[in-house]
Amino acid sequence: MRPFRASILREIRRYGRDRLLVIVTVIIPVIMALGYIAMFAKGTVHNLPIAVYDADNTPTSRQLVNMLSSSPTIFVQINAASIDEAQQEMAKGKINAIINIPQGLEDKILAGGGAQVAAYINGTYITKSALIQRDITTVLQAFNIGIETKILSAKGTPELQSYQMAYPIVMEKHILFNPFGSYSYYLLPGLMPLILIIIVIITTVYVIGSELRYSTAPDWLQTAGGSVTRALIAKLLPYLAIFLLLTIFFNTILYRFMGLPFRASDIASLAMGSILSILAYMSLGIIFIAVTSSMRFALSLGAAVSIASFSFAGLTFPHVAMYPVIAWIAKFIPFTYYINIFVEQSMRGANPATTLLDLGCLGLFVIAVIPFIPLLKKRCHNPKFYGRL
Amino acid sequence: MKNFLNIIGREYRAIFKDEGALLVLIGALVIYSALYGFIYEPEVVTEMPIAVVDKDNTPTSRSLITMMDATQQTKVCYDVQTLDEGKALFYDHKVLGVMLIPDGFEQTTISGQQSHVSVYADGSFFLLYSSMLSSSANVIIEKGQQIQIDNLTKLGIDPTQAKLLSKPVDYKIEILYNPYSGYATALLPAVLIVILQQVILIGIGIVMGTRNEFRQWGEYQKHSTTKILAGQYLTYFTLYIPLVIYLLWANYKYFGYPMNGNIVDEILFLIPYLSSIIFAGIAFGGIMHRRESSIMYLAVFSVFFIMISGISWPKEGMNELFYYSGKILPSSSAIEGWVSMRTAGNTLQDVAHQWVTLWILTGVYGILAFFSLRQARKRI
Repeated sequence: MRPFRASILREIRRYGRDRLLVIVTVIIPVIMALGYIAMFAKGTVHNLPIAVYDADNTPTSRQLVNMLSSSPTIFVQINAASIDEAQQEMAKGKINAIINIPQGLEDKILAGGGAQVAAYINGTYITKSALIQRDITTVLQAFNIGIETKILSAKGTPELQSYQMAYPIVMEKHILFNPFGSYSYYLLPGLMPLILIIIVIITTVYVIGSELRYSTAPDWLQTAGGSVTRALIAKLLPYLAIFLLLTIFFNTILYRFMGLPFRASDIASLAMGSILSILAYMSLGIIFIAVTSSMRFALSLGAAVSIASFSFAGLTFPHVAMYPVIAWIAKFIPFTYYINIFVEQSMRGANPATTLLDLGCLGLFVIAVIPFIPLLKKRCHNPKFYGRL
Repeated sequence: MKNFLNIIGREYRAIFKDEGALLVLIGALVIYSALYGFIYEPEVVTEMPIAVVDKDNTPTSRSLITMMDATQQTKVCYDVQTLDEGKALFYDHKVLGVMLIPDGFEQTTISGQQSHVSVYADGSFFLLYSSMLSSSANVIIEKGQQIQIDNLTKLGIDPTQAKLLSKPVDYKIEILYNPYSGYATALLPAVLIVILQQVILIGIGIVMGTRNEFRQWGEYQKHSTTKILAGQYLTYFTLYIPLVIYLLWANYKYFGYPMNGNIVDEILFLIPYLSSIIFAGIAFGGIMHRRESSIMYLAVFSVFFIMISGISWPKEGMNELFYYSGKILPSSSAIEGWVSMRTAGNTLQDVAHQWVTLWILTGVYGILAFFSLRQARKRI
């Protein structure tokens, strides 16, 4: 027990002396988490400005413009005098869509057909264009239903029946697990843990790599009584504690302040998922430094793997849509399993048994480090591997 | 002039002798742009497996299923009788969405009444639920129109008239520049802009951090800080001309991202972007105590820098102060301006605001770089 305690104390002293480590493990993640809160603070997007070019300018066309303006996501900010004007405003980024109502809209409706309306949405911002497309489609559909109901009623059909004939199939949307279709509910649970896994892997590489880099490895092993396993555990234990505190901090933000739904029946599998993910990325960090014995190279590798984890996990671009080879590589990324566990447990409230396989896979990443421990020991004992840049 | 070239030569040697710096400055740029390109290249969700719970089992309900199957986004893999079966398939990950056609669907709609079709989409994955909803909505509108035409014809209205009446206003909704809402088309331009910033900031940080750590500024002693700064700036600027051509032209062409801009405007726009990130890199690199410091500080921000530009979650949904504070990063204005010109084909005049911001950042980071360098070069 004595060498173990001495090793932990040695690491805590090293931590306290290194300003960079304190900034990277505490200050940066806390600032970023607060940044993400500010980013998603509003939760939804309302009243995105659009332009209308109403060449018809009749009560009917004005009714359409009013309907557009009162729909939740969009707002008619500019009543353009020409299509050119509207296009210029869109080029400057002032408006996100243009609705073109040609002359003769009302006349053609009354005459029984041929009326046309065109909508052009700026597609460079994919989230906005999707929201706007949904709103415009809904408005135009409702507008058509209203007109058809009126025409049929005028022909003598009872009003309710006219409405039902004009609107024969109603689509009832059920967005499971995310009733408001909130964008932050699906992005934040990936973005917050991403901060953590990047920090876990670079910190692990850094604290072990610096023993080689500054030739302190013999002292490190000696303090631990010569056992590299004990030295590793004692070294990483204080960081595990920091990372667990960060996990609690992030989850408090997500569930208490950002209103993320929590449906898990027991938090054990979620907690296990978080702990095993931290350990899995620590394990990758140890493997990278053991194999390369260059702190700088292992850091580059660790950063690349952890940052790419976000894309591979399939939260943004789903696995079903990826190329099979990319989806296959994703299986070798621990974050994929973390996201699976999160979605299953927290979002869907599925039976905890369904995540055993994912937990098992994370466990495999953790034990994958074992064969590399003798290698790390060899590196630590051989001055040839010290001071590599 | 001669000792100026001397500085540039020295910088180039320092970079090309350092495999760690090269790996970040050049390797990471090539690897990341290709990797993210391949991850997102399929662009959209196609043929996602769904289940239809057909409680009606009539020609009308079956034609709705056929139409769902025929869409690009969805593929009907299971046709079941109860919602419980549909749910079970969903929880077992056999399907990613469920449509429920109620009992009496045909009877109700044929008799001119309203029927409700329920669509269950997976809200934990944005692209999956939006694909499910948009494909269902399109099919339901189309089917609804067919039913309307049949019903109106039965009322004695002639078929051409009925068709016009079923959709009094014919509308088309066009999403410009990215008609199929492709993910790569929308995001990769921003990702590439941030990759450029990250590799330059981290890469210069490695070169200068190494020089700071090993106190290698001695050989620059006879030059003025301004001269060293100008020399460093020109070194990285010239080094990145071919790399930017690779990243924003060759790589772009290979993956087929939209290229609608005017090349002269684009070059004029990229000059202050590249300049501001090089100066920011020197300002930041000057305070790096060690070789590895810049990776430690900056790697974690990669995705954050993309998000803060508003390309994914829109700026209208952010806290204003937060969004505007993101403007201290050259990437934020660069992404806005670049997608506006490159993707939407707008001119430099249209993005004058972003362009001016980048010039201001060039000036501010240039001054910071000067002071940072003056401090750093004392380490001899």
